[in-house]
Amino acid sequence: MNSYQELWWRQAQSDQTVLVSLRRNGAAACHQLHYLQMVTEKLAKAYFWESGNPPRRTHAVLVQFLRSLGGVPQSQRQRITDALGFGRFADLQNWLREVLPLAYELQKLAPNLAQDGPNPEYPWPQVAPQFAPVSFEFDLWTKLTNSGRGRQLMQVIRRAVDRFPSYG
Amino acid sequence: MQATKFNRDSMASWYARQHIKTDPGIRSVFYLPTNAPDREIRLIEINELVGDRSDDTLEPIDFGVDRGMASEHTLLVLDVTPSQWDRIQQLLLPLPPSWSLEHAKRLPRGKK
Repeated sequence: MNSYQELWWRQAQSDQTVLVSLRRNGAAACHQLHYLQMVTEKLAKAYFWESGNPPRRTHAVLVQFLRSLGGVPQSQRQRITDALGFGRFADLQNWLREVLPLAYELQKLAPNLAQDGPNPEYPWPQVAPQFAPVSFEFDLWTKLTNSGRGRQLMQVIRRAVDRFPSYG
Repeated sequence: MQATKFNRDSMASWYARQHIKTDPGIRSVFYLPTNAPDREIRLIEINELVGDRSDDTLEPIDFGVDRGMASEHTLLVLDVTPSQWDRIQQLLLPLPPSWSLEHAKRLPRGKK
């Protein structure tokens, strides 16, 4: 891990700690989604800093990150498989394919990608707000909390942050 | 504001119904009251759509609910694959510390 990666990873770790605290304290879905989106963005950027060059300035990096994990060279496969707690690389690849739609929805929550629609930070629409995130029922939140796949995505993300030094 | 009483058994059933309604991969939901603190709901969900991961990842995810209210509680959900569930029943795969299948209740699926 280079020094740039370490900075991004440390921030992802701190955001993850806040996220867990929000979850355990029953914070509104918008706050938990906001932090989950930030954790994944910083984790992905920590990963992409591996080249020593800055990643693109965009919030839309989670899907790219997951796709990258599924396409690593043979020499890195076992390390990533072990780090994320899968038995075989093929199991990890299958799982990644299944969770990509959820990941896409999550990265789209960033306000500048939400196209003046549901986002976890600001009331919308911008010119004549009708909804506040704190009282909005996010379909994504239902999918993340009420389904096994959603809960597993949150747990794998947590592990991906914790184990980042072993594969990042 | 009227305080809502907390009924652990009925809340456990409600969570099971919500999860089954959302997730077509759930085959069964078990509610494990033994050893759980009064305001803690422990569920094991056997799910065909969760990824097959190594045994050291068997850990429930916990959600705080209604903090500061009369209905305050914690929900813990342990998602397992059918093969993990088989090994749990055969005592080949341990449950999280203090979790027990003693008096475990299989929650009805209800209407979808």
